[in-house]
Amino acid sequence: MQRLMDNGDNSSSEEIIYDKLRDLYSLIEQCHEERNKSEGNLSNIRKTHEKMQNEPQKPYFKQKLRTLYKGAIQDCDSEIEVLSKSLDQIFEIRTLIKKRPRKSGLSLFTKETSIRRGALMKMLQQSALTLPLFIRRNKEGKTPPLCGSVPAEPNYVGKVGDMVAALVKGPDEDENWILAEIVSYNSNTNKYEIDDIDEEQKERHTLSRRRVIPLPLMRANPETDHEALFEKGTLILALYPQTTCFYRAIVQEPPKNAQDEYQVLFEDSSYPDGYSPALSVPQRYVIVSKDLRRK
Amino acid sequence: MKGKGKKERDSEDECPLLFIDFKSIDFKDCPRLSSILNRKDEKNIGLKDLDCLQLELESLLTSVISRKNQLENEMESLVNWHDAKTKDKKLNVKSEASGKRSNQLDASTSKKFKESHSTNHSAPHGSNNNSGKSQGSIRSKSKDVKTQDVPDSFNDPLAIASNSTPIRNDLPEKFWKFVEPYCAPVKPEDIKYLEEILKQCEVDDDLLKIPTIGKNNHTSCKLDDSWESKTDSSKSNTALEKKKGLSPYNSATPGEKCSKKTKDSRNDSDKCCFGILTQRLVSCLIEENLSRGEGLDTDLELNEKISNASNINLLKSLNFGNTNGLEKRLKKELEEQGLLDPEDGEIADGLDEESDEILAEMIKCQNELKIISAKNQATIKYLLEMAKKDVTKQEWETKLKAADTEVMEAYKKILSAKQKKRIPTKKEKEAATKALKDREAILKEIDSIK
Repeated sequence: MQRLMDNGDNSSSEEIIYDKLRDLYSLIEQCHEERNKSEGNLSNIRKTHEKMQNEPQKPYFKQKLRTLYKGAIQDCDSEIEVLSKSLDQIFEIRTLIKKRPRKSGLSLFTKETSIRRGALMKMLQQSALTLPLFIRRNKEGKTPPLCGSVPAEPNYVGKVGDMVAALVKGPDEDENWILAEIVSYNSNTNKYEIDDIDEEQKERHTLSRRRVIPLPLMRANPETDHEALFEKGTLILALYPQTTCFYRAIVQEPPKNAQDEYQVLFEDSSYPDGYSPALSVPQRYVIVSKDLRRK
Repeated sequence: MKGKGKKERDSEDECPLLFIDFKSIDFKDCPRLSSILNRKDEKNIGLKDLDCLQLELESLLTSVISRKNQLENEMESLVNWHDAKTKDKKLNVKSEASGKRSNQLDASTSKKFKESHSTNHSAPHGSNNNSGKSQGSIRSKSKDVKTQDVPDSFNDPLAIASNSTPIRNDLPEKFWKFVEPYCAPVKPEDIKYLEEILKQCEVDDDLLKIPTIGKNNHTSCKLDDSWESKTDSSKSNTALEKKKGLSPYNSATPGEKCSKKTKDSRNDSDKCCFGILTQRLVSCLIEENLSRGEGLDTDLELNEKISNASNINLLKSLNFGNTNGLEKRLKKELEEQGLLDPEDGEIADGLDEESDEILAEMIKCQNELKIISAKNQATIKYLLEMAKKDVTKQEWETKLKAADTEVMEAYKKILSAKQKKRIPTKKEKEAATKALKDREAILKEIDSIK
């Protein structure tokens, strides 16, 4: 906040963000309260469990446990509500920051300011880390598209500003999957206009949609949505660390928890067995390998 | 299902609860969160905090959700246990009943599944409604089965495997969409369409007639004319007329050969109405001329012009009076020179018919076409027959349905009468027997159609 105040443009977006942050703070306070509230019920449950283990047949305990469970479930519901609200608030703030006119040094990224390469890499890493986590509310139900390894629906059109992997022809007629950002989509020609995320490449590309793969919009939680992760041994495209290009790689180890990253082996002819040592790549930059030439 | 029921009964006296230690994540494990909450001076959050905060909140949320799920599971087993204790016997009956019910349900779904499959496969002429419904039921049922199975076979590796394929397979839907029209009932429009096709086949017979050569060449010559006049409009009329008969284009293929002939017979007033020998001779000479000027298009055209013009002038200047005379004289001359046998000319005349490769090819193609069209016609006729049969069958089937409902009504009447413990009246009995007889007659009728 200090930084924000220092940069202090009086622009309205700054103010909105400031207000949102204030709201977020109160939401977090609420989370804390809810948590403390539910803690009471939980400790009661614990105590009852202890007593009950000695004489489990006593109907009194059963009745009591029932009401306690009921209360605890209700606590959970309200806790879930507040937590979801605060997360939503965070994403709102994030989108606001992204849309905000440049200048203030708090950059996620935009084209206008030139970011040094190291900063760009750090920023890419950060944005992958803070990609929203998909949290399933109930046990059943499908993982939504663009969460983890779940591909987009066939007729999905990426939104402006979304990050994609794009197959671009290089100067030497070689083709590369680059990390890019959607500038526009022409529904008549079915073509995307995209910008290379690496600003040193000033060119804007126009590509048909089959040369563009949208990156996941949500992380999958390995603990609850294991099926939305690429399994070990899957051939995938992954962003090579410290570059803005996707290369073919094989999953060595899927992430173990929501904050974890994939361990992948890149196809690399400079290593004796044809694969690089395991490198970690966040979920956001691991996508289905699509071989266009084979089609 | 049964196994489960037993288990429940066995463990009736045991406590089903797992006594899970429900814990909420300690805020101490969320350093950013607790540090924010401990800020007393400035009740706000910095943008720098957002990233960490997000991750902490996410893990909090997941933990709360998993706690809720655990709680709900425990709650369920507690309720079941509770019920088991209080309504001991009832529960047994119930659990069995529920087991049975679910068994039945499974069986019925699988049955339906099978049925719908069989209707779809074995009855290509089946009614549209039916196939549509059965498709729907396949899809919905299969879904039902899935959702039912999920909680039961949570530990089943197969179920997990099926769960782990996130890519939705819409191939079955595509397949059924493709198959759908083939299962639809035959409509009057379909029959009309078939009849129309059949008519078209009959019309086709006219096209097989080979037109007389004269007529055909007449048109082709006209085409030639127009083409040539398009390519070179600067040419003089005389040159054009000349070219018709004498240009190398025309003498190049056997088809064009006839064109010369027909030209001769067609009009005497034409300037190139010379006999075949004359023409052949002249064209040979001209070709020689042309071959010299080959290479450049403009040269070619120029040469043509000159040669044609000079030739016609030459012929004119010779003043043969009439072309027939010229022809005869030429023949005579050639025979005298030993270049032409007397029979040759006759053969040459007759040759046109025999050596007409186009004609031969045409006849060959026509024969092929005839065979194909005959086959097509036969197939269409067969289809038409089948379609008509099917229409009548459909009519009978609708009648059968009506008869079925009648029978059912009669049955219900008699049943209600029996329920009221009165003997069904004669009328009712008669109606029932009549309905049954009617239905049997319809069934026989349908069998006979088959």
